[in-house]
Amino acid sequence: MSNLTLCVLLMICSELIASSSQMFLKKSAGISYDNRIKEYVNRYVITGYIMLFVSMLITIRAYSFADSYMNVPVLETMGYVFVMVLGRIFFGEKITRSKIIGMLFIFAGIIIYYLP
Amino acid sequence: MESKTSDRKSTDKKINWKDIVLLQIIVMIFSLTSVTAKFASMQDAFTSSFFLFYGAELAILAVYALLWQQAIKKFDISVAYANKAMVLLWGLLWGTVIFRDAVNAKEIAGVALVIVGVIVINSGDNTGMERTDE
Repeated sequence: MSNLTLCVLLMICSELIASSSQMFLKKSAGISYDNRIKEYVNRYVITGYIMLFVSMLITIRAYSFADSYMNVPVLETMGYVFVMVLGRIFFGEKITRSKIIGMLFIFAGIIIYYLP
Repeated sequence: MESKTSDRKSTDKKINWKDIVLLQIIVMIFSLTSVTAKFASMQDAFTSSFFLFYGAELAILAVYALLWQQAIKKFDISVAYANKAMVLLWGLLWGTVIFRDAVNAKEIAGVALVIVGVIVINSGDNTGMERTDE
């Protein structure tokens, strides 16, 4: 398996975890808490950040298979699509035309960036 | 509470530029986690220098997390998250200044397209701004 393939696979894995973590954070953001501390220290936020820590470790590993620094941040943008789909599933957020057009631009950008 | 989110109509939402600028500052802070992640990847895994950079990444992430949790009250999660694409602009800067990566026209074009995508998501038929009821 080439370094690029490994980098891409690790990033897909990392972004799936990171996107799911955002659902926990958003879930918590929609709940009223008695105080500020509870806004941060609750099961949703803690679960979300544990997932984010795991995703970060996977991303660090992905960097070691990347030729240049920017290769990884460009792949991280896959997370936006994952979040859009998950946001619809879990929160009924609408996937509007502008969101779809914006996503197409983002993917076109990633592809152009990685063209040989 | 969260059921209200799905019922909100997109047509009566207004862009609040102050919120968007704040979101961008949060994104810049977040972009620094990639820099520390890259440094961590340059160390031998799980050595003390690795944990130094991973720790720095966690520290920056903690600051970002405090700000992010407040920011996402005001945006659709998909819109707020898409704003994180602006990390690419910061990434280009860190890549060239800190890591001395050569950037070519194709890569700049790619990043530019991604940023256009983010702007379209923010300014289209749904600005993604939500009312906060809390």
